[in-house]
Amino acid sequence: MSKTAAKKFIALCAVTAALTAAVFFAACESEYEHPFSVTLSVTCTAAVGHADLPETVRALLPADGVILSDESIEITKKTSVLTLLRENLQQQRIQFDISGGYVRAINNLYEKQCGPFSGWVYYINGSLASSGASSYAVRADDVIEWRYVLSAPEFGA
Amino acid sequence: MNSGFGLQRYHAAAAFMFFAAVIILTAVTVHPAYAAVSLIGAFFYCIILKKGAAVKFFLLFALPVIILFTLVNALSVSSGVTILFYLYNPVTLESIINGLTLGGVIAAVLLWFYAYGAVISPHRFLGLFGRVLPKTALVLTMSAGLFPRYKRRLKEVKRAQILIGKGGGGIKKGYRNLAALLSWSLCDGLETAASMRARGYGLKTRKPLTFKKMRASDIAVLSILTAFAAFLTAAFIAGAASFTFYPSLPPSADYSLFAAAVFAAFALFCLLPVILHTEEVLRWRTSLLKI
Repeated sequence: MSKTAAKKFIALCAVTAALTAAVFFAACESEYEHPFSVTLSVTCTAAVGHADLPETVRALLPADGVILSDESIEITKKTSVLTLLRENLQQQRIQFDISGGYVRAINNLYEKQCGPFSGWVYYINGSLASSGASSYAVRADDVIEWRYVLSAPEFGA
Repeated sequence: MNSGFGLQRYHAAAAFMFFAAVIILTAVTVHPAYAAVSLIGAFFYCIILKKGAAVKFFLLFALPVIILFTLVNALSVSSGVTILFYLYNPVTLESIINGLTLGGVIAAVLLWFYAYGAVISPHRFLGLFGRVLPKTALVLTMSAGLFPRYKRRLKEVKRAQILIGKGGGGIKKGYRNLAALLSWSLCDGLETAASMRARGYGLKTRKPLTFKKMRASDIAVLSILTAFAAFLTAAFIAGAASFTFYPSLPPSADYSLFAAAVFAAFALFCLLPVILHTEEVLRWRTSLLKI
């Protein structure tokens, strides 16, 4: 290989690498164009007045089951659904119990308190999420809804 | 065995009845007020019995247990409505009080066992159970002294090894010490068994060293303690001492007259050894002044 051919080859490699990087970052950036806003709500309608609940817990739940109503939240950096929930509950001084990316309780309403399959799940834009709350990063205009369910809901519901 | 005051002076059955009841009742109740009153009763009784050594025991064992339980509970349970601050999960007042109560229960039981050791000597224990359950009582008494006895013997073995010029550390020498301890203890066990048989241990006609007849006062104290224990057990089963920590502590208005009466009875029961002891000491001192 002559010297000029080698130079050309190196230049070509550099240009390809730069292009790939640019496209990659552009793809990432287009998904997370900060800041954007999302909507967060936390409801426990299914648990309100449930017979299995201890009296003391039942008294804590709001009558309409809305713990956090549709709040518009400004997102300035990459945020998971779990972090979003935790930071907002902390801001409102609402109790929660999160262990290892799993939400065990919100507002002292614990999993399994309304039957063996009850607990907290979250919906993104109306459909049940298929990934863990700590691994899903929120996107622009997402409607995130945490809901207390009495049994595991079907996907796509 | 008429030495001492209060429970030390009465028949061992009365003292044993008291400790069995107070330890079991304390251990089955997770209620802040009950734990506190049991801890106070046990603490003051230990101080009366052992003075400074009791304070040392409290600081060395009971207090760390309380601190440990409080810390672990506060960090691992985030249930409760009163949020104090956040360490990822909220740290709540309810979980701290629950931890304090759990630690208090364990500390109170430890202190009651400490007082038990000071009031009921192995002699008194054998005197109480030596004829009813001779084998069990002997095994329990011997195993209670196992650890200190082996420690003492191992020290002696080590000293003997040094004197014959084979002392020092190392696995091989440690093994030889252990082997000596083992054969000594096995041999001693056989000798003890033969000796106890030669003395007629366990025979119905044989009386223990500290055999003591039940006097009227012993029977009176024993029946008072039994009545207390029976009432408290029934009340506890009925749920008089139940307490919920989560999600919120019950408001004080919840307490009924019955619950208050049960608590008063429990408090009196826990303070009974201190009251008996102090009353007798005072009576003894005033009688000395009269002379």
